[in-house]
Amino acid sequence: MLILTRKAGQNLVIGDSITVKILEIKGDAVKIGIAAPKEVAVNREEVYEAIRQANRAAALSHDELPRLPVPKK
Amino acid sequence: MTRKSVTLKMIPGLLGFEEISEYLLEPIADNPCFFSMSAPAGPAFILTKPAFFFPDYLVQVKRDELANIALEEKEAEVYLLVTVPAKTAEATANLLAPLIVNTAQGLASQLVLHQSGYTTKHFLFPPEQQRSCG
Repeated sequence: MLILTRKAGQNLVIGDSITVKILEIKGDAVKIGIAAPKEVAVNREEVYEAIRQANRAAALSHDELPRLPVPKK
Repeated sequence: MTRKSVTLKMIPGLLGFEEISEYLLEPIADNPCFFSMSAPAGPAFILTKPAFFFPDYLVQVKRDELANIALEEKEAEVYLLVTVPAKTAEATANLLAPLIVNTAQGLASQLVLHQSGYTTKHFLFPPEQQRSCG
């Protein structure tokens, strides 16, 4: 892993299309701005993981689609 | 509303199922509240529409987040992925990451509603609430 030191206001460039801006450093939190092409998804890791797990939990096999209750009107 | 089968191309692939891009979306015959979305070689998912269970649900996206599926906002159809546990009455919907579908062009994408307060698990059948599926 590449490790770099940056100060607030300094940027990183990844490839020729992604820029990571260090906007603000306050205590133990860093505010980061990311400019990336729209086909690149940028997510907090824990959100990404939660959605991946939710998708896996939702997956069923073709021949066992469950019958769900029909809500009453 | 989709009452017939539509072939969807998922762009990008669902997280956890990145290698699958093609799904068939179709209504479930005996239950107007749900749809199935299945890949030819599996897996299959149960979907619902927010209006059936979460009438106050709000999807706010930037226009460029819809660029993947060539969507103008008025064409957007929103579906939610449903997780069905052994006790079907405890089924939940993923409100954090809805599917946005361009039915006309057969394109779909899973969005993440950052800072929306929604989670991946909202119960569909809280007993105190009554439902109506149009």
